Amino acid sequence: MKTQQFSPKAVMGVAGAVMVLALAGCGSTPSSTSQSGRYGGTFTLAYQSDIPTLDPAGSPGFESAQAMYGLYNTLVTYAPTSTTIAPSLAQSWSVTAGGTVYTFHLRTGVKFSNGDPFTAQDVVYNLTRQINPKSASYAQSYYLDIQGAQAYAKGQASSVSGLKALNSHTLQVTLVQPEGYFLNILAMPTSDIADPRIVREYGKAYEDHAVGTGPYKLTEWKHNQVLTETRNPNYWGKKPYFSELKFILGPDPATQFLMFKRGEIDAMGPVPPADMPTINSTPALKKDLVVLADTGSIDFYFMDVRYGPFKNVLVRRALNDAINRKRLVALDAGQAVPANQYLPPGYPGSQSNLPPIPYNPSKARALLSQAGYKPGQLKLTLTVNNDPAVVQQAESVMANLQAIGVTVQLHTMSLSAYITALSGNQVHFGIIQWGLDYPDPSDIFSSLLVGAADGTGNFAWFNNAQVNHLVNEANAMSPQQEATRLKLYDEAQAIALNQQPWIPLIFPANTMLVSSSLHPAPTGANRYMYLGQLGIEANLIWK
Amino acid sequence: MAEKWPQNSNVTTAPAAVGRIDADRSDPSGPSPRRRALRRFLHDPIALVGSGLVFLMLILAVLAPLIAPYSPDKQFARGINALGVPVAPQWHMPGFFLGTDSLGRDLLSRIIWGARVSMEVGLIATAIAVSIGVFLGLLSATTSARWSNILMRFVDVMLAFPFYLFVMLLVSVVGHASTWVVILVLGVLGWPAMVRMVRGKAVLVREEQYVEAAVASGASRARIMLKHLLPNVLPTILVFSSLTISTNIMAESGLSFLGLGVPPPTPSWGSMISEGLQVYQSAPWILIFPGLALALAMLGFNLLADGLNDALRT
Repeated sequence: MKTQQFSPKAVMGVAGAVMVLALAGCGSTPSSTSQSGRYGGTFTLAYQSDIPTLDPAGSPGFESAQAMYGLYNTLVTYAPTSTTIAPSLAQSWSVTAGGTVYTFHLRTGVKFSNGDPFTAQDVVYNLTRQINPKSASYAQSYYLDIQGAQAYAKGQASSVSGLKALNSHTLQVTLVQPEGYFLNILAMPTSDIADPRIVREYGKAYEDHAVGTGPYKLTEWKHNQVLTETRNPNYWGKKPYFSELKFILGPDPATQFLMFKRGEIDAMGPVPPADMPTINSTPALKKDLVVLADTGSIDFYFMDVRYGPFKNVLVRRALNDAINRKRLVALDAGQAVPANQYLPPGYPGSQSNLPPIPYNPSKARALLSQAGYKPGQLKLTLTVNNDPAVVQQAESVMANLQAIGVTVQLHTMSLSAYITALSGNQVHFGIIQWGLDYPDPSDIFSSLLVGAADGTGNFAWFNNAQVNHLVNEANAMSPQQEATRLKLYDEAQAIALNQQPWIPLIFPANTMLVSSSLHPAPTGANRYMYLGQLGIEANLIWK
Repeated sequence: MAEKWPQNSNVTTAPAAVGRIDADRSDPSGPSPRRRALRRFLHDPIALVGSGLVFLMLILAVLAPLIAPYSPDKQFARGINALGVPVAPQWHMPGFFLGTDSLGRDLLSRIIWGARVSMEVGLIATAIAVSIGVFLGLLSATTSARWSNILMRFVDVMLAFPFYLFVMLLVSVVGHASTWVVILVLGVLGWPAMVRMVRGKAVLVREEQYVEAAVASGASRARIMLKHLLPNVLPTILVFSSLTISTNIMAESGLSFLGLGVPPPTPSWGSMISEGLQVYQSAPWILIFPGLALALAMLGFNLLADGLNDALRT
């Protein structure tokens, strides 16, 4: 479930298909450090696997971002607990020429954790590195609207003409056309600024020596064992409370749960739904439970609209009406919201006034017979990865479809096999668990619902001229026209919801356990996508 | 692989017993060997418990539609609450006698239907493995030393593969899992130990004078294999088959546990155990009962093998 999410570009990337297993866990040791007052102590977290990379150009996914959050800064970031862009390494910026020229005034006196000074040239270097085909960054396509990026990516230019350091603290970025979400892209972990001198020095081994301007610096990374970050004495911003962030690498969620109960880690998440009943019935654990509802993720099934029965919109509508979404929420231990649209609640563009998609088997049966299918006549194959929670969800959906006379065969495969099958267009009815890379409707629409073509994330091959037009128009609007932009996306969503290329299932919540020896407890923030962020952004401290 | 033929030494190191049946038959005064074996079997508590369990499992498998209180796939609205908590075992009827699983299905019904999957896989896969194994074993015992050698070295190679890894590899290669894929894979990979067992026995019988006499009088190879060798290796085959069934039941559960076996929603003990393991802290019954069923089925076939071994004095 929310334990894994497709990172949009991941799926679109050629070789990249990096599925982000957000099996994040965290924790820290109250130990003796808890007595040391307001500052200090270690915040210990755990992850199921090794951190895949600490290199911003190394296709960092969800787990990487958790550890990178402490090490790096981006030019812009989000205001705490919101989806509003806020200054970070760029102190201010202006947008001119109809939204195509961004001028960033960078913070002065910023140093990397090794003492190297931070300049505008470093930003040019890092963004160029994302575009460089040699980096093979899955995020490359995010940066291709920068002027000259296409030419550079094709090897026709030696630099990106749209990236200019006007002086050591002024950066100018020119886009080929306005892009309403460009600042969001600059806030992504792929836009983290690494120290170019260290990147050049270590080349491929850079990630083991990662240096950024963030509140922490990398002190130890024993792959598959432990990663430690300690406070960066050169940090330009507010001094973080914890002196150390420690990521224990390897324990699976069940083990993490045991470790949390024993106080070996200080936070973990997402909590597997299977553990929720134990937590709900144990007061000591229940008070540590933090549920963040608006996580910007959606689980949905796509239906290949070019394929057999899915060509018929009546079939697609019938399947949508047949799903008992409340049951799916229950299967997720109640930690989700039934999906009634494509844009997750609390995120820009999401419509709070849309009614739920009704669970109406009799209407579904009527639609099916209207489409010409007698009960038992429609046979479908549903393909999902073999994550237990995903399979369980699928079994529930199958029972719903069975009830309207649709026979569904379930085809399960490992995550990597599933991604391969998806990219090979072998799946006509399958699951996508999507976590927004940035809070803007374009991340759903551009990535998943327009531009039906091979190698995109549009697995439903949904190709509606109106939707394409609306989305392209909205994408190309400058951020100043936010209200109009969102209206266009809304229109596009209304058309898509009528055509139903997807079966939206649930918006999963993010469930975390955070030790109650820490305070203040994180609240309903919608941006704690990374547990690693908790220790920094939520201002947690030991009691 | 080791557990694939745990009784190996036990079974093969009884060369003295070779020809016993024929020797017994030559003594007209006592009861027939078959009758004596049956008598030994019926007086052996272990054998009886084993057969009882096996009989129980077979009954469950065959009569599942009649015995199971509900459909194994029915997801009851009242089977889980709004927070996804399943129903604990209810000791009243009608209810969920062994509780419900995480999807709100009746656990008892699923366990009963799961017996069907287990028995299907166990019996059919074993039948395939035994057929191949017996045929090749007898062939190897009656063919030229050169061919026999080649065949046995091939068997060595097959035995050298870690069984479960090989099975998992094959299931992955086939792509999508289904009951029949599991059956075929287990059947096709399960024969090498059987070949060795049968050959070892048959080679000894082959040296008996009556077999040599048959050869001398021009009996065909098929006749030697079927008439003279097969009856003598039959006890070994029976014992070993029983063990193989238990191994195959375990293998199916193992594969389903790993998500490589019988696809959901078909009830399989292995996938139930896998699910139970995730929720054992809050809903231990989902782990305990399918685990118990699996343990009993395996115990049954193992005890039966033991009993057969004693009764037939292989």
